[in-house]
Amino acid sequence: MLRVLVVKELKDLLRDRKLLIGMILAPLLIYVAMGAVMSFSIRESMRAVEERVEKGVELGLMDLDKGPYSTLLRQFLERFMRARIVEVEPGPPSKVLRKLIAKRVPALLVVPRGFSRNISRGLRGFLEVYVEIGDLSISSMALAGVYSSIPERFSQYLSTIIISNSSSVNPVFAKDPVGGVSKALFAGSEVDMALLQSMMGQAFMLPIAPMLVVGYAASLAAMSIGVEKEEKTLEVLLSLPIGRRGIVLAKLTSSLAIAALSSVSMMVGLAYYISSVSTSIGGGFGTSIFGFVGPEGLAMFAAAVFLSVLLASTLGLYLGSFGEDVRSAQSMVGFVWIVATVPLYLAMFSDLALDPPQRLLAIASIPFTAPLMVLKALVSSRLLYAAVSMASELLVLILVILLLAKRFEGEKLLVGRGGARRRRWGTLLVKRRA
Amino acid sequence: MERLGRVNLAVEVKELVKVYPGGVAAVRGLSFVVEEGEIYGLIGPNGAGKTTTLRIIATLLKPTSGSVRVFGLDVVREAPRVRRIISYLPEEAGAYRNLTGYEYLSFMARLYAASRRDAEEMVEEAIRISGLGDRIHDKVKTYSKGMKRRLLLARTLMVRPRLAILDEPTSGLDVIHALHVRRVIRDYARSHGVTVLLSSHNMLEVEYLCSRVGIVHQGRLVAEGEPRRLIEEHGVGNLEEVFAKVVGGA
Repeated sequence: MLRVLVVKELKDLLRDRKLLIGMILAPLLIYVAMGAVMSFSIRESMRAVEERVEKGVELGLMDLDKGPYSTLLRQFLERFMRARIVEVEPGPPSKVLRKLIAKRVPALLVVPRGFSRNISRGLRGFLEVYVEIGDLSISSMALAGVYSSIPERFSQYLSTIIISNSSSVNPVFAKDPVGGVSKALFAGSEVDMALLQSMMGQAFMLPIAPMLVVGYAASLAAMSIGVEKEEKTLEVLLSLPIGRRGIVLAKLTSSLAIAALSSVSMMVGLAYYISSVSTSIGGGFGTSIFGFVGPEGLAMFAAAVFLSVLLASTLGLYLGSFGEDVRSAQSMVGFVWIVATVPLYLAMFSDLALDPPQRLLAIASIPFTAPLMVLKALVSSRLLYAAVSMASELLVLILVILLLAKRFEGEKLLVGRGGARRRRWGTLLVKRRA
Repeated sequence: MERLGRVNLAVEVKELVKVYPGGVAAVRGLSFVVEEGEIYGLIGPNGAGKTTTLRIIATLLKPTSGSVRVFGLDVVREAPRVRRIISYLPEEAGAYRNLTGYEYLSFMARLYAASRRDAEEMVEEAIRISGLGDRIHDKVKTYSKGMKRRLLLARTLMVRPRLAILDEPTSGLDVIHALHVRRVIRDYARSHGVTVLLSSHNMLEVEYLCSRVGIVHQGRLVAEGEPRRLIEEHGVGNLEEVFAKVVGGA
């Protein structure tokens, strides 16, 4: 008995091609596409960093020590890291680094006074590293890692020299004679590397919130048209003395209201999440990714989320109109998830500071990348990508609205498509059975 | 057709053909007219093309060929104007589940009425037509099938259309609800001079309501006339037997 019921259920479900696509093919494609995007992005990011390191890193050197070990450090940098060193005059490190950045030198190494004296006395010497973080991305963080690892690498190098030259030295000191403090210059402010790592974690969470809101918006819009079909209200609606464009506009306006509410709700939740994560590691909202972009930046991010949600609603409404009922309309939304999720991650892994501009413009042109692109453009002060992303999303939105209006104008909304194909399949089945 | 004169025609269907995408021909050269003020019934077996024809007249579908005019207006070229003078009740129509019956009627009335007062009058009339009493303030999802149909019929008639298109108005209703619906259609058409074009499987209903009927089979009109005359012409006892004779011999 159970077998008979299960067979009936499976037949009913599996014969719904839209359901197959939305529920089975879409999740498969999402993860395959995401895997491909992530592996491509990570590979490209690492390749970009390796290329830069192979060419030799560029850094400013503020030598306040002028002793033998600072000279040794310079030799180490030139010999083992192929560093191109730019000598700088003493001054506030952040200010000096800003001047270096203008000359396309992204890092500053400060050798404090007494560095050589400390090491000569068997005491640990400390170096200060200041690095510009162009974007919250794997490549920028990896490149920053190359600079912030200088103290550790020099310490290992010096350790072998100390151990080979003297046998009576304190082993604790000899093992690790040099320590370091790394600070980052991110979005124009000096930030502790630990906080930046935390922000990086926040940044990786960022695509999830818009993705969820986009998914729900598309699903809700698809449901609204699916319900009209399932509850048999569509025929009456289309026969009323209101223009078809009016019907589309009404559905879009209500989607717009839901999109606005959804965006506000998401922004509040996301701000709380990001603030609480920053607070837990000793920072606060000001040191979070949202704190860095400021109120205007947050407003821009909210606008980008709103645009994406509106696009998702419109797309959901359009795709949902191909379904015969709520179930099939919602399963069509699987497409929106694929279309929205992959570009969001592609944008997440891109580096606005290091990746080629052509590639970045191409990514920014893909719909649904606007929330991430805007945020990244704001923190890296590369607003062109935000503008391109928003403009492209707006264009696609207009295109989908036109398609939707066309769909409502004709009779296909009621009679559907593919009758010929279905009939041929049906005929084929009957013939086979005969 | 010519005898009626164009001014008195509520509906004029000429050589109507409808082939759906996929090649299914639902209507194959159907022609008939409905006079202003009459109740005309389209009867025919399942798949005869009745609903397709009504949907074309209601501007929902476009004819493949032929023409349809409603009070002289072409349903394709002048669809928005046609929609202002018709009111359509599909066979399996639903209402918005989460609205109350009153809210549903108010929403519909506001689309037709010129003023708020007119809309209120329409709703009051619809409440009277539906006979739903206090239940009008309950959500539609709590209504039985019969109550829902009465609400929808009230919605169709409250706007005082020049042409009411009713597809199987009593389909699936019990005797009591069906009687109520039939009485409302007949009384409303008489008292307000509304032209009604309906389709039905129920021959009793058609005999009771319609001044003329057209029997449709395989997308074509195979017989037409006043029910009593058709019965006499075919020498049978009732319209059901006329139907069986005509469709069976078609």
